[in-house]
Amino acid sequence: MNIAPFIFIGLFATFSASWFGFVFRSQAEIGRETQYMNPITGAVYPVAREGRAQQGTEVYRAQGCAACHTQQVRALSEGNDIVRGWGIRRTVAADYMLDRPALLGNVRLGPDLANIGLRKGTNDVVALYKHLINPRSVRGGEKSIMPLYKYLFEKRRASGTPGAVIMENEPGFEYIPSDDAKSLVAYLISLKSNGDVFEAPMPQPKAPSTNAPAGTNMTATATNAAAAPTTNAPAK
Amino acid sequence: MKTERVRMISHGVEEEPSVGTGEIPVIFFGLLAGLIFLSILYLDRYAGGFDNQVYRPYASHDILMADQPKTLGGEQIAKGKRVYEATCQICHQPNGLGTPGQFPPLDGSEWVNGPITRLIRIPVLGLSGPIQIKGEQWAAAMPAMGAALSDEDLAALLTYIRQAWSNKSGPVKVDEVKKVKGDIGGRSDAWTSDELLKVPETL
Amino acid sequence: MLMAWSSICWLAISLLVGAIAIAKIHYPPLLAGIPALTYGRLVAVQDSVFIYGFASQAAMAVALWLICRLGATTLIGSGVAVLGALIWNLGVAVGFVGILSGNLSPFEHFQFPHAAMPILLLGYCVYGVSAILTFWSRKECSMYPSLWFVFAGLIFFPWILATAMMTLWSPVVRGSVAPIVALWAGQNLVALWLGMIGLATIYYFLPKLTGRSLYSNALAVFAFWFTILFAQSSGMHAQAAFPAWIAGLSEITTILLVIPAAASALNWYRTLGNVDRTLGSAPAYRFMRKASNFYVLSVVVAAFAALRPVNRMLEFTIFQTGLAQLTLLGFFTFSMFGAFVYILPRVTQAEWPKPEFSIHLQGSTIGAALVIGGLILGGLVQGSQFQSLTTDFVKAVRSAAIPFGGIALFGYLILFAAQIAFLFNMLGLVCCSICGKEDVRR
Repeated sequence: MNIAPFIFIGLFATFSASWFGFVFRSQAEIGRETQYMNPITGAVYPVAREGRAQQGTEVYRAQGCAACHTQQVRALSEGNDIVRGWGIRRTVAADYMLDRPALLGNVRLGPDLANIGLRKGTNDVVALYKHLINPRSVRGGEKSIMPLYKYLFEKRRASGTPGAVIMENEPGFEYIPSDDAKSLVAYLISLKSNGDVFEAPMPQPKAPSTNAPAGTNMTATATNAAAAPTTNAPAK
Repeated sequence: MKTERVRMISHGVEEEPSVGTGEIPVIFFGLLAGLIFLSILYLDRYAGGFDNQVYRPYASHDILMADQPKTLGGEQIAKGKRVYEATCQICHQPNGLGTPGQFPPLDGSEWVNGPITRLIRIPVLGLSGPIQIKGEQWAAAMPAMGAALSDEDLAALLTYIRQAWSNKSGPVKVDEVKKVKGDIGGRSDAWTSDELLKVPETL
Repeated sequence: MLMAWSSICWLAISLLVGAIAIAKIHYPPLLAGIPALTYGRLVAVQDSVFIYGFASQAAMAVALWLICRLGATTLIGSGVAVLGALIWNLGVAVGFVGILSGNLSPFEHFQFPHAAMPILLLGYCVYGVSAILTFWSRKECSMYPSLWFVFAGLIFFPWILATAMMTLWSPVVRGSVAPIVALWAGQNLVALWLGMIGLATIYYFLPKLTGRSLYSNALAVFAFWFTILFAQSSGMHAQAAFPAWIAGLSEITTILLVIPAAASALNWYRTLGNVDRTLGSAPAYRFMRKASNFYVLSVVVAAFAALRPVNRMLEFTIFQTGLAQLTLLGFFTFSMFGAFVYILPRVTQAEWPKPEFSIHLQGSTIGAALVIGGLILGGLVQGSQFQSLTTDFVKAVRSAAIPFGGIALFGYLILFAAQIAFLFNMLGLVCCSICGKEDVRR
């Protein structure tokens, strides 16, 4: 008896169930989500990156940064990412809504970058450039395994060009950041996942939530909530 | 080994393997059933009800909803307080108790702690006429102090007064303010107590 | 034949690239000035070329062989299949160049640039025409278990590939959905395409090479359906930006997968029973035995790593890479090696110049063990270091990456050398068949 058609039907049924559950349903529900507006403060999240930072997404992708750096923060109950200062809340799918492509990463050979924009600001641009040119030149990173991205810069004899970066161990030379380098750093500074989202309300629960509703003690949560969103994560 | 392979090569048609009739040990079914049972228990707690909005550590959508912010973060309270100091404090005093005989209290007032549909209307258009507040009769003559405030500022202000001093009511949201302003429409007269009491309690 | 040759070439390339990548971790200034050789791109090339250049092509070749043999028919449309293989190789080459020039995508197993994907899909469809025609014309009506697995793999692969193509590079699909689809597609690509063909190969060759019949049909049915059922949602729990149900479902199905794997293992080991000593040294057989051992090991280790406390420690470490390599480099690669060793002389009507395969067999085994062992142990070290908050991050990563990455580096180099030896052997085989040398022992 030819059982091939039956096998085909069986395979089709099981696989299409999986396809529907993971692909179709995700696109239908998560893919149609709109930006979240906090009903109390009116703040909208996520917001699209402005020009240079958006170009930086392309540079990040093209350099394969996602091979070593993740951009996902685990919940307090799942890992110690938040305690390490890598974020104030866990990341959810909505955080990547406007990222094209979403550069989540799989392995941490380097620290998580989901909230690097909270740890480094516009004052740290030169430090970031130096980190890219030679990660081992940064204090604390002497044994870093991160590759050198010197080719994103143009190396010249030092001539006092504004915006040029001078490395401590090469005082006679200056590195002019290329457009790619500038975009990449602008992108890094824009990386923040601390906006309010429905799926991860602040303050973050430490343990799996029990069935008791959390909103019973309102003044107490007000003081906790007062502390959480306004402090910056401790500098790493 | 070499002769074995030669034999196989020189065969015109090789024998293909056939299947035997061994049985499945019962233990497989037992294990499968047991593990599936345990899996269902596990999924009940850790799969978030298969809801695409439920992330760990939440176990269900209801618990997630219960955890949504009902009170303001520190920034919002500070903002509401600043608006209060600039706009309302002159009459209603920093302690929210007002001045007896002149300006009514906000602390403990049923108008403040009651339905927000009525509360939002008060600063937008003002109050006039007799009104009962905390058991006392007042002759209201409040101008529309909140008419110039933005929706966000008004929401912050009203949330602040509803949670300041001894008040412990819920927040006022920006879209609720927008909705009420829309309902008011083009009206410009101050409210009277009777009109306010006729306003439905929910949006 | 073309497929086998090119697949092993790509394997060699992938291994060499992997070795360079790990070397760069040990000494970052190595080759730092060349943008095309930056670590991120090398890792992408290694993974993509392995999956598409070697693994998928080998799977396609072996699948065709199995259809022919188990259907008692000859290959229909061999020219079409070769055309498909050529288009496929073109796609892989386009992807290879694309990644090195910076046009890579960040999703694991789908890192080829968008331009390469339609070429691959086209190549597969052209090949698929030949596969379908051959299957259709089979004279043997009842389907041996291997054929079920082949059937499943051949159907699932274009489905997965097309889904990935349409969602991961699409302007319509948002960044919030793409990682979920990428994770699903990536896991299914390994488990339900490569895994299926790998299982088909072992189910066929173990009885075949020992001249016995497969122990139990019922066990095979059980294993087939439950493997598919559980494998399609397994392996997705080591991420942190997805709804809870994905992780929960994945954890339980990864653990449940042990049961059908045990059924397969029982079937195989009962089939083998006491194996004749001389037969036990035949290279094809030894490859298959190792492949079956790797399979069982991969399922068990994956199930262990799915337990929540263990997953918490090992998420985002190189353990996950090691686990993937256990399936890919261990189970799948060895099953393909065994298949090639057996099939190629029959396809070319010639003899292996070096029939003992000692370099290839020993080298591959040692190399694979070093790579897999290095990555898994390194991941354990890295994970346990990460648990402690006082350990400096750079030190923690370094303590895992340098010593254990070094072990993996050796492994890759040994594997690479073994594949070069294999390529020389294959070259000799092709030469023998072209020269028309007769089999001396006939």
